Amino acid sequence: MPEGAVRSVMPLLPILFPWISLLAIAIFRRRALRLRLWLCFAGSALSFLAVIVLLPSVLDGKTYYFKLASIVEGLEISLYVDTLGYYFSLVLAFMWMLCTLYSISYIDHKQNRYFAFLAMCGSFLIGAAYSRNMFTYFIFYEMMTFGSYPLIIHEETAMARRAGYKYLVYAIGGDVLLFFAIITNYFWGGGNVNFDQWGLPTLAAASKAALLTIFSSYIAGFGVKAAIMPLHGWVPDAHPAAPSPASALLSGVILKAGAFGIMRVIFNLFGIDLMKELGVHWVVAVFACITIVLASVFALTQDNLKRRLAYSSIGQVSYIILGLTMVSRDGTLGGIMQLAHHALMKACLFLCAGVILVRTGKKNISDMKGVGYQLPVSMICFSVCALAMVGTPPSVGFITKWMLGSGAMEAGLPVYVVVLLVSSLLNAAYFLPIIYVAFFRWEGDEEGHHHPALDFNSERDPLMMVPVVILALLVVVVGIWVTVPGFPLSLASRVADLVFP
Amino acid sequence: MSGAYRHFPILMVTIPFFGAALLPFLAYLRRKAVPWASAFFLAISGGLGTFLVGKIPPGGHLSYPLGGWEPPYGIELRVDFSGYFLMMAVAGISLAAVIYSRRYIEKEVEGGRITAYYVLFLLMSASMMGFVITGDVFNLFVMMEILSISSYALVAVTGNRNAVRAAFKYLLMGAPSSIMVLLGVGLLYSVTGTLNMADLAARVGDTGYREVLIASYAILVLAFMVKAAVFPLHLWLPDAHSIAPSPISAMLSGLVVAVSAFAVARITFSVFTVHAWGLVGTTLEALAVAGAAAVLFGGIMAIYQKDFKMMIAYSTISHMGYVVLGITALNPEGITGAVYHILDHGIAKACLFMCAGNFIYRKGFRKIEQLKGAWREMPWTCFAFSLAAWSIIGLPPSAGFISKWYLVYGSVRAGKVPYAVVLLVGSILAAVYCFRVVYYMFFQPAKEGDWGERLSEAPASMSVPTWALSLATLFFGVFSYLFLDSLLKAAAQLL
Amino acid sequence: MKRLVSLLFIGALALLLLYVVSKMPPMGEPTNPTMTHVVPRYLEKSEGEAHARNVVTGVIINYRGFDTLGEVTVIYCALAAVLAVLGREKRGRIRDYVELSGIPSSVIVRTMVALVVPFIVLFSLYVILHGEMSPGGGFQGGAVIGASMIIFTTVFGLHLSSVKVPLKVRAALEGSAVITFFLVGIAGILGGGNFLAYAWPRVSQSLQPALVTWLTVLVEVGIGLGGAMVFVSILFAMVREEGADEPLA
Repeated sequence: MPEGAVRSVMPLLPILFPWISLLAIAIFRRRALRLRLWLCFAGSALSFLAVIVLLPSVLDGKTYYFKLASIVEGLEISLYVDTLGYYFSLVLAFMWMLCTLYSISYIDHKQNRYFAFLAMCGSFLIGAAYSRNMFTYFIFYEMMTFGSYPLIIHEETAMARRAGYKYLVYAIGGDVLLFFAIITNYFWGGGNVNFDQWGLPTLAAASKAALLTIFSSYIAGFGVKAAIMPLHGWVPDAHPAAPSPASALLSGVILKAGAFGIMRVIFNLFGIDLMKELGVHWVVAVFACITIVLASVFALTQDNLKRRLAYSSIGQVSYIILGLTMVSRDGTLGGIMQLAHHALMKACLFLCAGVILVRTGKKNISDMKGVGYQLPVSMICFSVCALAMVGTPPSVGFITKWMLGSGAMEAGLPVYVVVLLVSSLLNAAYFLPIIYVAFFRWEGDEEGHHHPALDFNSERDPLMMVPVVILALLVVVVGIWVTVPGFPLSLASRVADLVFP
Repeated sequence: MSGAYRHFPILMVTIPFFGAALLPFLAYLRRKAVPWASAFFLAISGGLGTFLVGKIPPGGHLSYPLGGWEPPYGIELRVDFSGYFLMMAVAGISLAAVIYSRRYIEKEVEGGRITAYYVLFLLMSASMMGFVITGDVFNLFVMMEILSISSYALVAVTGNRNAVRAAFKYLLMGAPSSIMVLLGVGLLYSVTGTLNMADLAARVGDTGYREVLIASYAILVLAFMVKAAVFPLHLWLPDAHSIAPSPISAMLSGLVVAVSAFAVARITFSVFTVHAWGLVGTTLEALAVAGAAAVLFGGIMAIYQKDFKMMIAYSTISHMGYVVLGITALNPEGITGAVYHILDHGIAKACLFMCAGNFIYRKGFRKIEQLKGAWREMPWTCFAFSLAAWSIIGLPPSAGFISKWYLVYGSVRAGKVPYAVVLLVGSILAAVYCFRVVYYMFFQPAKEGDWGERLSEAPASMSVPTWALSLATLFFGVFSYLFLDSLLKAAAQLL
Repeated sequence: MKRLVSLLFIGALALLLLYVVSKMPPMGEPTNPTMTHVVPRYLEKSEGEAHARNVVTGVIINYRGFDTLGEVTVIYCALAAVLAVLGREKRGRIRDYVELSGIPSSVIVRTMVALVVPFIVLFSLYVILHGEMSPGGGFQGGAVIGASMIIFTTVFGLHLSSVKVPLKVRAALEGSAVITFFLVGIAGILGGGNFLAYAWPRVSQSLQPALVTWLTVLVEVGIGLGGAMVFVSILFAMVREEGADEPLA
């Protein structure tokens, strides 16, 4: 049992609630479609509630602990809510709730399979967030990995199948590396892979070669999920192939599970000091920088909207990695905050893309002339998030970039600032044309026709619009009132203070 | 050591023998009762086993001198925790397979042979139980003989040409290996004058006949390698395991090869022991190389198979490599991994073969291609297949994950990182061949005429065992903590 | 090429084994491990402990009885294996089978066999019952009965011999070796000892020698009967091999 933790079943509740969905599906199977889907939503909403009730005590610095099973001495499957894990769970439970709501009207076939796996993945992810050690994390992570496969290939088109295949290949490769990393860590770390401390003291005694092996296997294993180049191959295929809410979760949360794993490795297993001593953080940082720039360049060349967003995600997740590997307080803070901020922005963008796809059937940016007049609310939300991505204040994107920049200066490496600026520029270069096409071009604009009238009719479906609007509002609100308790900064700064006392 | 329970291990072995001897007359009186009677005898056997829960001291053993003759003079059963664990695995899987057999065998085997089928089935499972708990090397040979002869015959029981040919191939490789076991035991006896394992362990160290001991160890290992189908001595396995009736494939692939691999552990740790490893080091290294080659070879061959029973059979070769690598890691974690892997591979593999059997029973399909879209008609079988495949790949939280963890950890702890990598590559290969089938079942449209829309599951007496086994893979994953401590202690005591 | 490789392999293996044999303790030396460890007890105490004047029988049936239980199971298993591959006749159908050999045996042969077979069977009973005190025993005696049935069948044909030893009898007795052994084993437990204990602790010391001897004989008889029936059944199965249940043409 970790020091100072309270033994409680509270961490178990949000993991169990999503299974309500599965129960509902098992009971109704072919009947009562709406009720069934609303029960699925109820599962995710309850799960979010169960997470949020913990907020005050977590802000007080309390931690919770719950043991599920102890395999052998020193190797147990147990849950542990610390600030970092809680932070991730809060983000993902919230995202999950909104995306489930959105899915109710978005998914029009094979609902049972989709919602069952959606709920399962949500449950596993919260389990991963609350894992006390790498072993538990791996178990949940791996189940989540394979559980998300049916989400990706949900449409069952040839493209989806190919994407699913690619996803599996990358995922299996990554998981095997991860497995190897955990075992070697367990061995050289003296049978300890717990997250209780900020750095395992036992690990420091291992030889440098062993530490390098462990660290690089970890980074490569999680790098597949976090889409660090050159391990990003599955992302641009999986996102366009999956249904939009699933893409939103992929980008907003599942990619983050990889980044979160890297956080755990850097903060809790190795510890900042050991990583510094090992001297490999800058190698990872270089990879992250390359990813940030290259992904943006690739995004420029994509015409498919979701594919462009996917490349954008690849770049943005590497902000997190970059922040972590700067080895400075502000950089770390920025990296951790990016996890939530990017989830808000990117989920909203993908959900907007979903609205466009459903209402107009358009996938490619070049076809989207005048879409802003057909779908004004979504496109405004889209524009807000796109501008936030570029880093325009007041928005969450700006906060992240500011923090990262400040972290880079603190670490004495202004070159990272240059990377961030270049990336912002490229972000602008690929997001602004979309806004331009949506609002400033329309059918017949070159012949001098006036722009069409705003048409709110096709956005009447509250199930789809509510999540979009909430996310877009949050992007701005969180960007302005940064310090409200419960918003990312409050939790992230606690973590940063613990990591850099 | 007192109480009636100490008799239970021997009763578990001999009651099915007794039952098998009664079956012909029962068949003469009432043929329909034979399957039920067989299940009854195996159930008694397994039921007695459950009384032993908690009675075997972890890290110790239950010694049972037969006839009351103290060990080196009489035969001793030596039930340690790993032996007991495997005996229960044998009892459980056999019970599932015998229940499964009733409907399946009715269809595949011609009437006059059904009794013989059940006789052989009982003898096979009972001899495996004897095989894992005996503490006497000659008794090991005797049990192995019963096991081998019944397996040869069960492969051929359908009587069609291919089956007989496969059985003959099996016999051609199996019979010399049996003789080699006898030769190895004879050599051991000639230099120690004893057959009891514990006594041998005490005497092997200080006898002067180095060469004879090395030879006998090498011969024994080689012989059990044939039985366990460790690459490159696996040639008989793919044919025999894929052509045999499905419940028999389940037993052969799930248990028979695995207990033979366990015999290698017995010989290595209970007979030659730590003190004599100077004698056996080279053989063990060669065995480890063979095991590693088996992992890769079996996995790659499985990927290229078109017939799904063939694929599962090749997967067995790969998994026997896992077990061998666990044994040759020579540390408690490796052995625990090997023993646990024997269990979970046994369960999962039996389940896979039963699923294959369900498809064959309903549709007569044997090609992987034909499974496209099978989900519509046989969803439960397909789900069971996926669960079992999950364990075969070694994904959490199934039992396969636990054993993979220990196997890889054992290799890393032994400083044999390359073998750890081989094990991981093996699990990637497993993922490739398993996911292909799962993908076909669930995510591919059926070919015209192969599968309809109407539900047509296999009969309950076949589906229930299949499902029981597939859930068992989950059970032994989630509740692995109930066993692992004792297994680790038992393994540590072997060393 | 393949042959050459196999030949070389076998040659190498043979040489290796010969080398190992040369390193083995010399044959027949009284100082050999085989001679000094467990064997002396068998030789010296067998009569007193196992109450079998024939030491071999004492070892087989008593000291290492479980191995023998295994061995009789192997034999029974062999029968089941034969039946699994060749199939067994359906009840009553064997009467339809024609004689084994197309040529009727001559009168001389028939008369001779008819005269000799009872004596062979009688002799086999001696072999079985004397196993306890002289060379012989259940296995050998059973084999002799089996041989007598082979002679009988070759001369008088399957029809007659299947009337003499009908399916009912065979089905009941095939497993008798295993059954007797098992029951004796269980009796050991009930008698207060371990499985296969012949000298039951619950029986008074003075009765034990007789008890052990009679149980030994009982086991021998079981083995003999079972073995004989196994031989006969295998013979019948092999004779009617062509076309599972069709009468021989």
